Amino acid sequence: MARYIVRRMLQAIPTFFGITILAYLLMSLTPGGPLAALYFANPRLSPQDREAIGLRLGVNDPAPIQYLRWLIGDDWMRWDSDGDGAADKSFLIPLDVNEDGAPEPPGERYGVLRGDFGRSFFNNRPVLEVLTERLPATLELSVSSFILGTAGGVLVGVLAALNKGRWFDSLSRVLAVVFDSIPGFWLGLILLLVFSVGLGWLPLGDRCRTTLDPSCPPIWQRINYMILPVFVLSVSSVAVLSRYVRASMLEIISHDFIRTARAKGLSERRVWFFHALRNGMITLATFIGPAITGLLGGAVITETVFNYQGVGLTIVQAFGQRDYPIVMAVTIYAALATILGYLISDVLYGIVDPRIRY
Amino acid sequence: MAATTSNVLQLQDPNRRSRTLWQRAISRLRRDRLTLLAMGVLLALMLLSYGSPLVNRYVLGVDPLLPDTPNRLLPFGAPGHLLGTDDLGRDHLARLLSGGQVSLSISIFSALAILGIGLVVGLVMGFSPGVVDDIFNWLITTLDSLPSLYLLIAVSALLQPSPQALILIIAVTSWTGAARLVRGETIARRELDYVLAARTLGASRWRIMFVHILPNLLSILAISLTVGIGGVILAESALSFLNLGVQPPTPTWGNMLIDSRIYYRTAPHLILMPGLLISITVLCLFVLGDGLRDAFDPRTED
Repeated sequence: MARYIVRRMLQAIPTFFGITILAYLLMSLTPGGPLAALYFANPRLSPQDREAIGLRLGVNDPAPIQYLRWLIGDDWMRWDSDGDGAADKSFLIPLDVNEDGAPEPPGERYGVLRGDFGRSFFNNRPVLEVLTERLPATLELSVSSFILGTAGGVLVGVLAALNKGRWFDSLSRVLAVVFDSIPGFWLGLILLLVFSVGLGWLPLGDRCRTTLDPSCPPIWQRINYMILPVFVLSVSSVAVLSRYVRASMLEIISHDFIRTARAKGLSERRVWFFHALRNGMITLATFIGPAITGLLGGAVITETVFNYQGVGLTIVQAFGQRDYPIVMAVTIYAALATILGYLISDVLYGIVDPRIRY
Repeated sequence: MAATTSNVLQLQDPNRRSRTLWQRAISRLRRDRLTLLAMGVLLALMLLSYGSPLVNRYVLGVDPLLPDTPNRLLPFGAPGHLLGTDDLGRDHLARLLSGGQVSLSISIFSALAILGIGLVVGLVMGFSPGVVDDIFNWLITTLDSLPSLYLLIAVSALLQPSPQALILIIAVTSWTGAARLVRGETIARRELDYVLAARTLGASRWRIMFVHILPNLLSILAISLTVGIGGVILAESALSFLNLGVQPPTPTWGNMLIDSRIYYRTAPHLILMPGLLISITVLCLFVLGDGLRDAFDPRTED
C-alpha cells in the first residue's frame, strides 16, 4: 500500500507541472500581461516607472526564464555574494539588465513551489496571507457539506434500494434528477427569498453577524448562518450519490453471499447494513475524488450567493479586480486539492475492497 | 432432420425483417411517455426561443432591449406585460424568450464543439497507442485536475465574453470527458472482428476510424450530446451569474438573474422565472438522455 501511495504521488507530479504551465500561460496570455494589471491597479504610474517595474519583474526575459522565476523564484538567478547589497553573480540572466552600468539588486522572489505566490496587485498583501485568512470559511463550509452530503446520499440510496418500487424509491429518484437539474445559485436565491426574506427565520447571507471585529465567533454560535449554504452545497452530492448507492446495493443484494447470509438466519437489517453496505462502500470510495472537485466548484457559487467570505468568493473578486497572483494561487490550490482528492479515492478503494492489489 | 430445421425457422416470421438498432430505439422511444413529454417541452421551448424575434414583435408587441422606465418592476399579470417588467421596464416574458435563444444556442453549439473535439481526440487516442495516447492522457489528467468552474473563470480572462467567445471557452475547457468516453469505446471496438475484416481488406486507419467505428458510436454520442447540452446550460448560467458570461444588454437566462438580485424585495418574480426555465430545460434534457440510454440499450426488453 505504501508503495502504491508513493507511486500515485509520483504520477501526480507531471500533472502538477501541467497545471503550473497552464496557470502561467493563462497569466501571460492575458491581454497586456501582468504589467497591464499593474497599470490597472495604479493608473498614475508614469511610462518610465512602468518600464522600471517591468525590468525589475523581468517581463522582457525569455518566456521560459519568466516561468522559472514564477515557479522557483529568482534568488538563485541573481544574487549578492559579498554582502554590499548589489548583485554580483548571476545565472541564466545578465547582471546589468538595463545597461546603465550599475548592477541590479539581488533577486527576491522565492517562487510558487516555495510558497511565494507574490503579492496581491489589489492591496499589496502577500497572496498566501490573503488565502490563509479566507481558507477556514471554505473549509467549514465544504467539510460540513461533504459529511452531510455523503451521509445523506448513502442513507437515501440504501433506503431507496430497500424499498425498491415503493413510494420512497420513486420519490427519491425523481428528486435526485430534479435537484441535479436546478442551478445551485438559483436554489440558493430561492431559499433566501423563502426563509430569510419571506419567513425571516434565517439570516440573509454572510458568514456571521457583521461587526467591527472581522473574525467570526465559534462555529456552533452561528449555525443559522450555515444552514442554507450547506444545504445548497450538499443537496447535489445527495442527489448524485444516492443514485449510485441505490444501483450498487441492488446489484450486490442479488449476489450469492447475501443468500448465504440470509440462509444463516441473519436479520434483514444485519444483511443490508453489515453485509451489503460494506460492498456498497466501494461506490463511496470512487465518489470522493469527484466530490471534492464538485465542492470546490460549488463553493465559488455558494459563497457568492450567500456572501460567505471564503476562497471561492476570493477568486471571483480577484477576477473582477484583475488580481492575477490571487487567481493563479487559487487555481493551484484547487488543483492540489483535486489531485489529493483523487489520491484519497484510490487509496480508500484499496482499503474497502481487499480484492484490489497494487 | 428436415423437420427440426423448419421448426427453428418458424420461430421467426419469414416476412418480418430484422430491425436495426435505430429502428428498435425509435419504436421504444415512441412508447416511452416520460421521454416523449420531455421532448415535447424541449421542442416548445426551442420553438418559442428561436421564434422570439417574431413572437416578440407580432404576438407580444414589445422590444426586449428597449427600456421603458416609467413601467419598471411591474408584477406578474400587469396589463400588456404577462410576466411583468424588469428594472428598466423591459418586458420580462420577451426577455426570457430571447434570452432562451442565446442560452440555448450557446449550449447547443458548445456541446457540439465539445463532442467534435472529444470525438477526434478520442478516436485518435484509441487508434494510436503509445506516445500520442500518453501525451493526450497527460493533457486530459491535467485539465481534469482543476474544477471546471475554476478553469472557466481563468480562461474567461483571455477573451471578452461574447456569445461566440463563450462557446470557444466552454469547448476548450470541457472536452476531456467526451474524449475519454470516445477513447474507451474505440478501444473496446478496436479488436472486434469487423474491424479486423476491414483492416484485412486494406482499409486505411482513418477509413476504419470514421467509416467503420464512428457509426457504431453514434448512439452513445447522441446520449452524451443530450446530457452535455444540459451540463453546458448549467455552466453557462453559473458563469453569467458570476458576471463572467455574456454581458448585458444581450439577455441570457443566467445574466438576467444578476440584475434582478438587487430587487428581491420588490420584484421576486424576476428571480423566479429565469431559474425555473433553466431547471425545466436541464431536467427535460436529462430525462431525454436517460430515455435515449434505455432505448439504445440492447439489454432493455421490448
